[in-house]
Amino acid sequence: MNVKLLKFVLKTRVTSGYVILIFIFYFLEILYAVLAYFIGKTVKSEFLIAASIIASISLMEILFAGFYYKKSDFDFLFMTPVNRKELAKSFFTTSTLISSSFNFFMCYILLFTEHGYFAFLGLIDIFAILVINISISTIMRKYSTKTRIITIVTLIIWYIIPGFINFPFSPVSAFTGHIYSGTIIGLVLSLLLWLYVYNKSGNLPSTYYNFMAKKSAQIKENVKFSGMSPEKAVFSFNLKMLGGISVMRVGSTARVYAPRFKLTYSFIFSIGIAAVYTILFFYLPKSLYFQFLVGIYYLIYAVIIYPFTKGYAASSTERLWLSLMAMPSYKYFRLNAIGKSLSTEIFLIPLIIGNLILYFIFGHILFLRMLIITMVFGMLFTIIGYYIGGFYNTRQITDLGELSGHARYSIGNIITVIILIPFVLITIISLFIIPVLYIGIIALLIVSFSLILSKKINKRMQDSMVKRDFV
Amino acid sequence: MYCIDFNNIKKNFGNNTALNDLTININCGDSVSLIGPNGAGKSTTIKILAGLLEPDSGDVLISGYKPDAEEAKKIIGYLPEDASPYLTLSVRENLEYLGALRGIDDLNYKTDFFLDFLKLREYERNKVSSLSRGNRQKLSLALAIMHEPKILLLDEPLNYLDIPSQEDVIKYFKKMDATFLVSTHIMSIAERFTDNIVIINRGQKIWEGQIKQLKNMGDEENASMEAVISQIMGGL
Repeated sequence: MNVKLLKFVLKTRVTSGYVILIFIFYFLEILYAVLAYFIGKTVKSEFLIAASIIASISLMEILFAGFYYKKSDFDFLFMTPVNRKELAKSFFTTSTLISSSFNFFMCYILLFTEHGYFAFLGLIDIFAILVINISISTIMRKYSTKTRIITIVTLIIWYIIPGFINFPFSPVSAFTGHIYSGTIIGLVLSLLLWLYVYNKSGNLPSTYYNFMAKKSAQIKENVKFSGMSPEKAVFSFNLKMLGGISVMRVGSTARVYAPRFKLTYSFIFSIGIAAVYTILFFYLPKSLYFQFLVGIYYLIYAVIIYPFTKGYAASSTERLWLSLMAMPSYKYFRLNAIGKSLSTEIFLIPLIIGNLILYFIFGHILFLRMLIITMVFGMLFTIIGYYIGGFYNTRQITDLGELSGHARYSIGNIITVIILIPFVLITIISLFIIPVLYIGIIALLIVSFSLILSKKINKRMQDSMVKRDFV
Repeated sequence: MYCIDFNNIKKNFGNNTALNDLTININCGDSVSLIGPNGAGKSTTIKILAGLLEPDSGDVLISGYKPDAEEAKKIIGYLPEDASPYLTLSVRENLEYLGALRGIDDLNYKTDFFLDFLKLREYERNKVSSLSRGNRQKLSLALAIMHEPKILLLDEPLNYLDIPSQEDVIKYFKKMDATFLVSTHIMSIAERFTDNIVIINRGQKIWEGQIKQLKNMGDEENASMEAVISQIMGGL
């Protein structure tokens, strides 16, 4: 290992402050292990929680492992006379080091799932799982998205199984009562994968270019716009399909994905989610505490995050040089925001029905409130997201490339969060206090209608976007 | 009346001056190249003419209309540099969608015409995100001109195009009864495309005249046109 190279790669990925933070995390992990050594005990009821924590953090590690590569690394750094293999090894070690800060969040389980005697072995088990995750993420880069998803899902299922059944053949089994088999599997697999990645690391640039290669993407069924009025065309664009553009880093580097689905498929998917959501309440403890807790999570994801990000992403993918050369900004932005919000409403219909069913079965007013909030707030959050994205989102997604750190950690993003906080609070509180629900509906309606109706606001949004190079 | 009437325009972005009292007047039917170094203000000029940006001061009229007026939008064809169409739509869907937004009659005929003319037929069902840069540029050109505009504002229109496509596009433009303002860095393109040149630097006009004048200057000094322009650009 070339230490100078490793230092260089590490310094160009994270700040010195972050490196110190990693070491603070290491120190805290050891502290956890020491604590577990004295008070640790095996609690069987915690096994599912332990497996779930490991599985979810592993998923994050696998997905984030590609974040540490930049397009410029492959365009310039790998083209320099520096030994490619050594450079690739430094990248792998760097992503392992940075991701290891996640381990801290797994260490909680040492207190409840390991006998104190094995607490330090538990730390090694957690590190072995990290190495497996980063190695798999690195190896997977050369495969198609479909293969990557299948592999990652399989791995996560393998991690979570020991939480449900007595299963000794997973690295996670070390935390579910099978210390020896779990540890051996974890160590052997991590060592084998680590050796494989190290030996094949010289191939990293070629897997990158394979990943970046354009693939044919034929549309099975064209959406017909011919013969439509401008208004109908905008609605048709929004209501016949769901689509988006994102810069994804599930792989060696960033590339633009432009997936699209028929709204019908999304609706079927939504029915599935609504079914799981509805059935969940039959299995939850019949206490209001649990029902409200799930209700809050439901609101955050289904009514706030999904609709908001949908609107926010929509303005990131605007093509002003086309749309605004065809019609005035107030007309186009208004039509598009309404179209997007209607599409959100269609997606949320199964959840609205789910809440209605729950209301009839359990007779609790909570479900009626959730129904109203879903029906009204979801649409309005899409409109608000669309306009906030237009005003504050710093970068338009146009082509292959990477978003700069400036774009991702900009003041605009902080402003977005600050603007969102009161709306989020109103939405959650409205679940508990009826007057807040009414105030929330009125407030969101006023904000949304002001946004879509005001010519001045729409013109300002256009100016703001063009100034930020949205063309 | 000028078709492009851009008078004493000032535009600042924060503390940066993009345009400083810039005036460009173009007669109907004329073709003008806008030339200048990076950051000279070419793209800002074109965005103001397209009605996407508003100047801080000065007057702009496109065939007598304000650039953001609906009447102006109908006659302007705008192509930005590195234009990106809707990535989630197919080539055909892009043409049809924009045609519908613009309310173009005989849209099916126009769509088919541009698919064949720009050799995009084999990609008509392909999502734009999967197209090469060249094919994406061809589609962008089609989207900018499919409504038969009378005023064309083009920023590096021939970027990424193969040579036969460049020839086809230039021939097509020459047949159009339109006024052109073309921003380019490539003199050979300026020469074939247009008769007149406006050179700007730091938001100000530093030279205006005919291409043949530049050629004569080059011949006198035994230097290339690029060398002459470079000399002019350095003169501010």
